[in-house]
Amino acid sequence: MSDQTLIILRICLLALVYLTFFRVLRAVWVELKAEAPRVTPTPVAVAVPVPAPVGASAEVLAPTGSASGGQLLVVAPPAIAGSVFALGPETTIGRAAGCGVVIDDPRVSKLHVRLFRAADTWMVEDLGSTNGTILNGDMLADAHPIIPGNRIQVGDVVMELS
Amino acid sequence: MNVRIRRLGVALGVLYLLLFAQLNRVQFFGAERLQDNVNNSRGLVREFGRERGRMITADGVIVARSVEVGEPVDFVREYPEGELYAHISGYQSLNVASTGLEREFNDELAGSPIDQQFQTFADVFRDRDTTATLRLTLRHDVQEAARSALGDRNGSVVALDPRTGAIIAMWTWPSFDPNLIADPDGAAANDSYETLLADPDDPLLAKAFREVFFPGSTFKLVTASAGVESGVIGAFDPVFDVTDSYDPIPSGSPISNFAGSSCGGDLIEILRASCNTAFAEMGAEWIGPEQMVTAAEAFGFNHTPPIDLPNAAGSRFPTDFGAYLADVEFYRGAEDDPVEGDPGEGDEGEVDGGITLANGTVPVHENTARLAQASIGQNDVAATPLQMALVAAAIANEGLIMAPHVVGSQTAADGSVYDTTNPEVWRAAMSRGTAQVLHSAMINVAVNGTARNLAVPGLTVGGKTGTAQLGTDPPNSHAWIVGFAGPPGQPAEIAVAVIVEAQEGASEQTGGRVAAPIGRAVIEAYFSIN
Amino acid sequence: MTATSRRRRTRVAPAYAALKPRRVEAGLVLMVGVVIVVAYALASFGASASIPANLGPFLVWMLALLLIAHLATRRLAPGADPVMLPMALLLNGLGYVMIARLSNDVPGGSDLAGLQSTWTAVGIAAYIGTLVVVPRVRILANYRYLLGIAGMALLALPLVPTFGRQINGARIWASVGPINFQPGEFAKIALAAFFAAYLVESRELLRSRLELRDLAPIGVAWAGSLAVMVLERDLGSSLLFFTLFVVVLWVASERAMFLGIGAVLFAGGAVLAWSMFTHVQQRVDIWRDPFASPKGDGFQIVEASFALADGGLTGTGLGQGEPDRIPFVETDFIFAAIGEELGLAGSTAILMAFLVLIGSGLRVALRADRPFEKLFTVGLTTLLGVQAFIIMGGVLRVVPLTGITLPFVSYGGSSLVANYILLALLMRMSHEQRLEPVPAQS
Repeated sequence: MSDQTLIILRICLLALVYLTFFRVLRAVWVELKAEAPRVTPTPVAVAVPVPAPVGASAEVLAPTGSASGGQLLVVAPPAIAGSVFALGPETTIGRAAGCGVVIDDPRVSKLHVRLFRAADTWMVEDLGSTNGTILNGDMLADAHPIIPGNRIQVGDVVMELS
Repeated sequence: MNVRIRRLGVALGVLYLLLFAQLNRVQFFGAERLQDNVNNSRGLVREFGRERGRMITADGVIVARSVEVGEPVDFVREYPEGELYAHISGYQSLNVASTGLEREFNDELAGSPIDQQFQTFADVFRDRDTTATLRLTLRHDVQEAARSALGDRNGSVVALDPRTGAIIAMWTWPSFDPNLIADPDGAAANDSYETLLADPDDPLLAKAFREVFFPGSTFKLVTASAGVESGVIGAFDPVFDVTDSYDPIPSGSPISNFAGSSCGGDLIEILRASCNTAFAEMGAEWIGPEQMVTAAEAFGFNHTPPIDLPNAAGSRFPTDFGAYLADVEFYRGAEDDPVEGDPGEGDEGEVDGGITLANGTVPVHENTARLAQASIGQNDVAATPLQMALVAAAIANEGLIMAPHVVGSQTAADGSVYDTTNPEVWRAAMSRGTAQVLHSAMINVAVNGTARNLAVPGLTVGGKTGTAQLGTDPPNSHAWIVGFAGPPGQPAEIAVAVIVEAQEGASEQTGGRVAAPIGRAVIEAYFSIN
Repeated sequence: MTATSRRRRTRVAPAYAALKPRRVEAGLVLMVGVVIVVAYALASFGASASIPANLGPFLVWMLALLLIAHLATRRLAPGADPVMLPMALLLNGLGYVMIARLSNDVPGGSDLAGLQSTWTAVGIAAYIGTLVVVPRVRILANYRYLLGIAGMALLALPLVPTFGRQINGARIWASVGPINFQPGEFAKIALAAFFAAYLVESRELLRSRLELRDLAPIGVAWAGSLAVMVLERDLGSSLLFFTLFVVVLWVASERAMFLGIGAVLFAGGAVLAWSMFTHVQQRVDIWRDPFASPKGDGFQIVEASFALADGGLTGTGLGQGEPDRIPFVETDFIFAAIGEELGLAGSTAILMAFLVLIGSGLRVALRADRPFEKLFTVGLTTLLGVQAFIIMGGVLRVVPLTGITLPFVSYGGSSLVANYILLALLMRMSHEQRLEPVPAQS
């Protein structure tokens, strides 16, 4: 083994060490970004729906949303379990500030899923989210009817329709 | 509590930043200072035990090599020729700073330069001996001849090839055995070093290129060159008065010839006879300070020769002769005494050897007497033996001084060449025409003059002797010879300078008798005569 | 609603959230494994220019240990922070390589490598054991007095005639049967738990008022630290315990005044120690100017500086330096050895690893819900960070040198095992904070 080879291998070793650190810092960064929701999901328990395509502006801004009568009860994670989100005729759930239910979690897409009234039933539709929506333990593929007692999971947050 | 925890994080971060800053200080910015700390023997120990390249003379004799011993270090440096090359190779020692080639070529011998490490891409994967072997220009037979000819007298011998600057032999006595200082037993090495250091004759000092001496009459070659170059002195004109004493202008103690004799004549004659009075007058009243300084510096005085050995000394020629007083006129023709203080126009002189010589004036300074003395190599003139060899070499090489060097090339273990020393001109000492005049004059000195002891039958030899009186009581003087030799009709192949440092009561010794035979022995060894 | 042809997605497993950190960790552990193996091979080449005969077994052994640690975490604390374990393993691995490399050169050091690898195995076993035994960190608060007494007993153990051993001037060793160990290393964890639990109880009081008797605890801690210093001549541990207490007290009370009081007490203790003990004076003198006696008292620090200077940016290469010139290089001065052979890049990597550990530890503390967990985590993190700082700062002459081990890196079983236990507690706490996956109800 020549000195020259040793020099090169030494540089490689140090590069490898620093590559490890790079990976570490990236992991920490990702986690830091993911940390936020655990502290802040509760605040706006009021559904503030995005402007609906059909111009029903007056009632969607109503905080209680009693017109539609539905609400989402958070069952997990424990930190925010018990929070209740009232539902408007159409409520979007996502990371974006404009969503009816805002979940600040990187695993949640900006516009993740929506609940809306169709005829007399609530429907849930995934809006092309990256990580998908789980309805009653199954991955939601298309718009699907949802009845009280059903659970949807977005990221870590599990909510029950009531 | 979270605020406090964050602050704790910041505080710890600051502490670690402090550590990081100190790490940078110790490992990067201040590293060199720490490595040079007198208490730090790490670098030495590391270097010392490693295998290093060899040094080999031009005729294949090993000057230095690493011998594997295993204990207490892997390799020990060995100098098989002992004292003979001590001043060239130097030594690599555990306790004492290394010297000579060991120092100058430390990286190359250790194999650390990048170009030695990576000759080809494949070297990245090979364990190859990357040390360089220094192929010296010195010839072992000539070096030995120098040693035996000088014997136990203190002195130096320098022989080099005027055409390339390659040093053929360089010997100084007293010398020392570098093996003693390279001893891996640090205490023993230290003792040897201390003993050598305490020796009044200073055997550790490579006087051949690191000590300056009065060059005495050998310096007359430089004075002669200055005269011919400045256009006032020809080979046969002017003719200096035959006299036994010269009184310097404007004042000063008289300058006499060796043993009170009288001499004079044209350039060829005064060089042959080494005539002090004539050269003192020539420097002071014909050439003048400006031209003398220019000529001396053209030969390399007041500069350090670019030899590939550390700590070479520069030779000196004075540049300050006091305040300007007046111009003095010089006239051609031996009968006419120069008229002082009457600056007149230079008359048209005689034609000599195709060169038209003119009368003219030179400025006289307060200390022109000093210039008169300097012109015969006394007073503040001081030269290394190497410098005087270069003077002879310049005359033999049509006026050009080649950069002196002892390393001809550096080769790898497989014989491939890392680096070759290409001959380079160091200084243009004089014009080709001037060199031709002095060349002839020096041959005349060796045939008919004081340097007859240098002559070797069958070779064209030129020389110039010197006896530098030291003005001590009892009188001491250095005996000098400088010269060159080559096959008839061909450029000289070797230039030599020999100094035998005077011993007490040796005032009567002259270069011709004492130093010339040593120069001759070296020339004979070079041409393999005997 | 009609089905639109959306991209098909892989099914998201319910345990996704919990296992993600373990996936990250797996990648990091793998990289650390490669680093250690390359470093080991390099160190062997550097020393003997041939492939070491035991490279194969070493590789298997080391990678097995890493794998075991990771798999155990996967099972026992799947939600825990993904970077702490790899960083500890990196430190441990680099330290091991350096110790293995030193075992050739340090006089009488031929056993060091074997012992250290055994201790590493024991350390990882202790790590796993702690994860098994401590399902919830907060249960430790229930045993606070037991832990407090145990901590003090451990601390005092070296002073007990039949158990105590005095080695190299410091009386910090204890022998129980055939086992020699430094009880102080374990005491620090027990004391951290005790301090946290105690301060949780009294922090409301400490926050609201300040009477003379409230200063009693800090006084007791100070006296205890001084006792450690005086009786065991262990400056490093003394400083570490006092810092631990003051920091936890400050975080608990949220009163900067305690930092001030701590600083004053520390200064008082330092002056006292300086005036009472020649060995303390000597340490300070060396710190101020080690070059005053470069071959005498200052030798260790001076040689360490030379070693670090020799390292330069990328080091002399593993196995190619001369770290064995520094006395105690395998324990107190291992940082200098790494700096010499891996250069500024290597020593900075050690600093970074500790910083990552500190950062992760404090993040765990920030996220903890219960005061006890917060304070305990702060304590553990402080122990790790300050201990590393004290010794690295000592080697670098930022602070006077106090002999103490560099966590995970230095040679020494007690230190290694104790720090793996500490790591396990941090991991356990971190895991508890992560959301448990919620099984969806059909």
